[in-house]
Amino acid sequence: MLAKKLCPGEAVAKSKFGVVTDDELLARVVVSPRHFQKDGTIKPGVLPLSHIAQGGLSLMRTDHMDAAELAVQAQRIAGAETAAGVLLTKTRPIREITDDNGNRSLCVIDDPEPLNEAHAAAVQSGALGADDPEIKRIRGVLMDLFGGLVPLTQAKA
Amino acid sequence: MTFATAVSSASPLQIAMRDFSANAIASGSLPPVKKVEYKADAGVSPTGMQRGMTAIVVAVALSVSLADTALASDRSETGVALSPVRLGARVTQRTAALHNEVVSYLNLREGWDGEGSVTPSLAVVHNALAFLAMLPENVSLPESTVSADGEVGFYWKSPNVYIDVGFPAPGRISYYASAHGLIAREATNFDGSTISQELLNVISRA
Repeated sequence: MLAKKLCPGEAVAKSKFGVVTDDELLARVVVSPRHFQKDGTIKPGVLPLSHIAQGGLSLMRTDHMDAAELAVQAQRIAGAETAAGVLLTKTRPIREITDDNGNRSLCVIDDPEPLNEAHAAAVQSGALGADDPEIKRIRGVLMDLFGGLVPLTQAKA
Repeated sequence: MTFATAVSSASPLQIAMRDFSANAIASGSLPPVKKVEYKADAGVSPTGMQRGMTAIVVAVALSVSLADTALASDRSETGVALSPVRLGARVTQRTAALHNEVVSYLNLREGWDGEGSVTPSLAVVHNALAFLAMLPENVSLPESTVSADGEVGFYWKSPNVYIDVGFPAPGRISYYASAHGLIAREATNFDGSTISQELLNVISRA
């Protein structure tokens, strides 16, 4: 009941793929060199605070993409830079992130774009305000959830 | 290309830096910079030259009170020794690379991280450098980061450690810091002179 109240958008299907299910795999594109430290580790900037706080974090629903489509979409996001790979996680752990009161922090919604039908977004739930430290905490949790870089060639293996 | 040419075609950021330097020189806190003639080598674009000039101007404007042992041998690219100036950003050999990395964020162009992304402001960079300069010698150094909205920050990440410190606007600091069970979090004003003890306690565990 609480989850539906905080994330009503999760029940709305906007694409032909329907709502994002808990077991779906989600990808965040990593761009080189923008998202890398000199030692090769990935910067938290791959998960921008402003996107988590406001616009929503862009994700790709890789279960609905083949390898070629994933590569095309990743390079489109990278623009003039190089799509180095993706960070992957299931949807459920993102939905299980909670604040100090036990309320959902993020909602994962079906969010098709004109150039990418298999687009999803992680947006703040109705429980969150614009508290910078909390957004930073969420980013830290997401960094752990997403783990390491997966090359595009292995993302659909 | 001459210095004058580079400055006359400068971006608003470069103009701000030029004015900053001029004011500092006028007030006596910075020595005049020796005029330097640059030859436009083949393959060096005007844009690249301008960025180089920006880096030099920034390096001088944000020059710092170096450790005594480093001061004597230090030279700027203009060949003029950097004098200690009180800008709230003290650089040591340990922090020099990180300091330069943060300064380099001033060279980011509008749109560098997609539509709507902005260049960090000089004041925000200044805040970040002041924070870096105040870190005790006995704590591990962070990595630096910059966000599309112009926030500059630092982070520490390792098993059981996640510390994310940002300067989202001039005179503001925001952080979430967690290290081995100790947590500090706050969004508050930042005057460049102190770091909260609560945050330092967490950083010291990183």
